[in-house]
Amino acid sequence: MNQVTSHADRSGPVDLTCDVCIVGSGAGGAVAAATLASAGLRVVVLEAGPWAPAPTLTLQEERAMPRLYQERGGRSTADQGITVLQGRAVGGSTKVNWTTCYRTPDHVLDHWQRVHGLAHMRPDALAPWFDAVERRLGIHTWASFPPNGNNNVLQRGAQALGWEHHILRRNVSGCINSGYCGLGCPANAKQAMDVTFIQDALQAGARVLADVHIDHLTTEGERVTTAVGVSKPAPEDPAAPALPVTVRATHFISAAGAINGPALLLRSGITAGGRVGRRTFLHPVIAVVGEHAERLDPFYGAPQSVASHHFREPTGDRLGYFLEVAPMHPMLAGTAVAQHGPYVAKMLRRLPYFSGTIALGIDGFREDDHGGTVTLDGHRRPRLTYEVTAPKVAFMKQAHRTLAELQFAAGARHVYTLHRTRQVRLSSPRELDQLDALPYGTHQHTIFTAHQMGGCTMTASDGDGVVDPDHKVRGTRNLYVLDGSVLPTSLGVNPSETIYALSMRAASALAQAWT
Amino acid sequence: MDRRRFLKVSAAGAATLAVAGALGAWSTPARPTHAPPDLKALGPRTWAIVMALGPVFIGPDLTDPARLAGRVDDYLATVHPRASTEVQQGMELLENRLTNLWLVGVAKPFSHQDPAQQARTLDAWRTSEVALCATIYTALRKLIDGTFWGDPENYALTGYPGPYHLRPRTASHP
Repeated sequence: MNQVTSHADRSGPVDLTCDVCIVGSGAGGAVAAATLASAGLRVVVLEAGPWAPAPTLTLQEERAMPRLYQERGGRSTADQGITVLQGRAVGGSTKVNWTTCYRTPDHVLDHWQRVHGLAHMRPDALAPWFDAVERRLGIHTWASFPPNGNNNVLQRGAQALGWEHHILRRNVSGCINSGYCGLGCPANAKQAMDVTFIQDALQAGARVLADVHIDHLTTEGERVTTAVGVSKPAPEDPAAPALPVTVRATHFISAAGAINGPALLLRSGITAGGRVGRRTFLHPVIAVVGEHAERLDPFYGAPQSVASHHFREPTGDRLGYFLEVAPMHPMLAGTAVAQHGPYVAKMLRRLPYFSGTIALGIDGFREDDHGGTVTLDGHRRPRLTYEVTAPKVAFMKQAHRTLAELQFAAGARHVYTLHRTRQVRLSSPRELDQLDALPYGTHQHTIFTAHQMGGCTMTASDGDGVVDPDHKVRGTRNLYVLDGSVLPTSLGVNPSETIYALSMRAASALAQAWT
Repeated sequence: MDRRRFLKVSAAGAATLAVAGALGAWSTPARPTHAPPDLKALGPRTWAIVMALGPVFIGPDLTDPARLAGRVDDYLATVHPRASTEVQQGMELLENRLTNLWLVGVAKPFSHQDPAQQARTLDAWRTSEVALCATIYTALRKLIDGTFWGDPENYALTGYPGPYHLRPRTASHP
C-alpha cells in the first residue's frame, strides 16, 4: 500500500503523469481521491499542508495552530475584521474541525432548486450519498459521554428558555472526550480524512504528496494540461531546498477549499467571466462568554456536542442564525478578547469557569447578500474581503442578546461580550438592555469564521456561477471543483458532511464517465 | 457613528497614516534594547518596538519581554515574508511620532513614551474609529496576545492545567 510522502522524502524535482490530479486533500479531495482510485484510475493528490499523524501532535496551541492552520494560524479577512480558522494539512479542515456533522437541510436544498436551478439537489437524490459517507465515517448521534461543561451551558440555557436544542452527530469512533479536535485528534478517534478516505485512496493505489503547493494550472485552449508548483520544507526547516513539482493529467480536480481554490483558478487565469472568487460565505460567528460559579473546564471534553437552531429563520432585515459553543484553550481565548492588558489577564484567570457560546449567521440566502470576495494580492496570495452589511449587523446585535440571555438562564454570574472599544460585563439579566446601545459589526467586536463556502459556486445556467451541476468549471473541458467552494449559499449547519456527500456523488459519476 | 461618518473619519485617518508612513525618516530610532544579533524576522528597530509593546499589551503578567519578543521573532520567521513585512509596517506606524501626534497629541515615538503614556496611546489605537488603526491594532494584538497566552509557561496564569494528559483526574475527565 502506498504511503503519504512529505518533502523530507524527496531528493529531486517531482514530475508525475496520471489520470486524475487532485489539488487538496480535505473533505472534497479525499473523498474524490478514494472514489476515483477505487474505480481503477491513477490518482495523484497534492496537499500544501503537512502529513501530521497522531504521534506527531503536541496538543499545544502554539505549535498546532501554525502547523495545522492556514497562514500559520493567522488567516483573516484583509481588514483583520474576521479571523479565519481553516485547516491546512493532509485531511484539510477535517484534521482540525470540531466533528459536528449534519446532512444538508431540506429547506436549503429547496432554496438551491428554486433560486439556483439545481434540480438534482433533492433530499431523496442525495440520501444514498449521505448514507454512504455516514457509514464510512461513523457519523452518529454522540452520546458516549455527557456534554462537557461548555456544551452543558448551551443545553441547560436552551432548556430553561424553551428553545429548540439537540445533541449533535459526530464523525468519531472511540472518542476519548479529550477536547483537542481543533489541534488534531490525539487518539485517531476523529474520522478525519487522513485516517479514512485518504487511507482508502492509498489502498487503491493513489499517490498522496504532502508539502506541495500548487501555484497554477497550465492550460492549452480549454484543457488543463499540468499542475505546476513546488514542494516546500516545513517553515521550521528553512534551510532545506524547495523542489519543483509538475503533474500532468487527463483530468484535474480543484479541492483546495473556498479560499485557496478560487485563488488557484485565478492564478491560472481561469475566471469564469469574473465570477471566480465571488459569493464567498462564512457563517460569520460572534461569541459571548459566561462566567459560572462551577468549574466548566471549557478546554476539555468534546468541543461541540449540543446545538440550537431555534433562531435559524431570518426576518426581513436580519439573517437567521444558529447556536453552538467553541472550545476555550488559552491562545484562542486570549486572542478572542478584543482588548489588551490587565483586562484580558483578569478575564483569563477565570478561564476554567468560562463558557464560550457562539452564534453563526446564515449568509447567502437574501437576494442582496453577495457574500465576500476572494481576489489575489500583489504576491498572488488569496485576499478575502467580506462586508458586514446591515442584515448581518442586525443578526450580530440580536445574537449577542440571545447568547447573553442563554448564559444567564444557564446560571452565569457574569456575561462578557468581546467588544473592541468597550469593556462589557453584565451581572444580571436586568442589564441585557445595555447591549442595545453597543455598536456591532466589523471591528466593533470579535468575529470569526470556521466555515468557508462558495467562491466557485454551482449554478444551472451557463451565464452564472463557476461550475455546472456536474462540478465542471465553465469554459474548461477537464477541470472540476469538488469542495465547499461550489456551495451556492451557506448551509445553516456545519458544512463537512455536505462536502463529503457532494464530492462522493460527483466523483462516482466522473469515475463512470472516465473508466 | 453612522456608516458615512465612519468612512469619512477612516479616510482622513488613513491619509494621515499614509503621510506618517511616507515620513518614516522623521521617526526617531526606537529606544535601544540590545536586540540579539541573530534575529530571524524582526530588525533591531522592530525588536525594540515589540519590547515596548509587550508590557502594554500584556500587563504585569509579562515578566520577560525578551522571551515574548523572541517568540514573536520565531513566529514571524515562519510566515509569508509579505505578511511579516506588513505586520512590521504596522509596528512602525504605531511607533511613528507623526501618527502619535495625530492620534494622542504626543509627538514621541511609542518606545520613548513613559508607561502611562504608552497605555494611553495603545488605548487610543484600541478605540480608534479609523479602520486602518483598528486593522493594525487587531493584527498586533493577535500576534502579541496569541504569542503570550499560547506559551505553555503562561498556562498557569489561566488555570489551564495543560494538554489532556496533564489534566487533573475528575469525574468529568477520568
